[in-house]
Amino acid sequence: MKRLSQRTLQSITIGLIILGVLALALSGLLGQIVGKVIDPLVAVQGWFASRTQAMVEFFTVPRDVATLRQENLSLQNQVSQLQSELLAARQQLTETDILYALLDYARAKPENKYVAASVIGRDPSPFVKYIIINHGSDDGIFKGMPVVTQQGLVGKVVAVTATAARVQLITDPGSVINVRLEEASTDGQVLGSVTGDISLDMVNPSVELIQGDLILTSGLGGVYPSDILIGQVLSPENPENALFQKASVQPVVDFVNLRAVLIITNFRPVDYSPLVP
Amino acid sequence: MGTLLAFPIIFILILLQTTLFSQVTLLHGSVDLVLLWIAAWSLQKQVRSTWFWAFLAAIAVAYISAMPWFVPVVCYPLATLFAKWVNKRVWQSPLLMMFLVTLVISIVSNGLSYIALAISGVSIPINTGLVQVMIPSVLINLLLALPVFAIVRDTAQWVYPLEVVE
Repeated sequence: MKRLSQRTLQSITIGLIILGVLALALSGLLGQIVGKVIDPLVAVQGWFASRTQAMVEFFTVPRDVATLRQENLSLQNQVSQLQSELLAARQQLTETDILYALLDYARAKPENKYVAASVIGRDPSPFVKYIIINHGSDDGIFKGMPVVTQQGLVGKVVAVTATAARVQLITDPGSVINVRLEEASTDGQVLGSVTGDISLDMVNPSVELIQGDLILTSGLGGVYPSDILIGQVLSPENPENALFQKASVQPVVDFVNLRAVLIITNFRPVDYSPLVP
Repeated sequence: MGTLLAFPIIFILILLQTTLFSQVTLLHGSVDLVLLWIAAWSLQKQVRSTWFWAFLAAIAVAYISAMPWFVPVVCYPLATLFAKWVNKRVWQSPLLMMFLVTLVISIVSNGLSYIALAISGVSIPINTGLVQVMIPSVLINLLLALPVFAIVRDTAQWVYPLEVVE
């Protein structure tokens, strides 16, 4: 009986303590008490942790910096490599675009045979307008063959070696091309100049020149095939009492950024010099 | 070594001229890098193979260019001749000599090019040729004369080191 009453008393005491703690917890007073007990411990823990971290860093950070530097260098190398690859890819993309355009042109005119060539240089003299291409007689290119792009006429081959050729552009001051005007239905000549501009000349003064009229090769003289686009009439000049009309011409080919061309290999220019008295 | 060096250097100069410098223009005039090099090379007192360089450059340019062949064959040796002549008279002022040789030989070269084209039947209006090509070419040659001279002088000192007199 006595033992039972003691145990009961203990249980009641424990129960009362639990209830008390619960009451303190529910009332919010327990947090303050626990905080006052734990705060010094947390402070000690924090102090200890920071010192431990400092010691760990002291031993490990130098190694990490070296690793980071190595990684940084490696990443910089990768970036440089990727940038150069990107540039090469862009370059290839541009070349592919040009080649696709040339291919489309070649497909559109299947009666001709073409050899595609890259422009590898320009004449060193500022007085003449010639380009050098990377295909020559080894690729079936001969003197006199017309050179075009997908846009229109570029010029003709004037000198050939085994692996390269020199092309006279239609903008060269020595270039003269027999042409016809599509709308005006008349013939004329397109002349080059030292400034790289081209002009229309030898047009019958009775014909009305229309701005924007297309200029195509006429095929007269046998130097170029007929119906290759050259440009558009830009500003007609019809001075009174002049024997012929003139006009400046907007060429369709961008001669400044010429990078790839097509050589028409199945066209043979007519050599009519024996007929000249 | 100075003679052998002519082959790679003139090759590189012509490469640069036909690819890069033919597109660097002032109006429609462009620099003649080979001519500048030959002029500057001929002005170096210690260089002994100037005539070989001049004729090699002349033949190479005559082969590459569509201009009448005698234009570079006359102009480049003439540049050497003039540079050597000036070198004996205007000593101790190499930069002045370089500018003088560049000015004179650029005018001669452009004038001869114009005459050669006119003879071969290519008519260029004198006014257009002068304003658009000749004067800009002379100016751009003068602009690049100084850097070319500096490179040539260093190359000449490397190939023909000057002996130190004690």
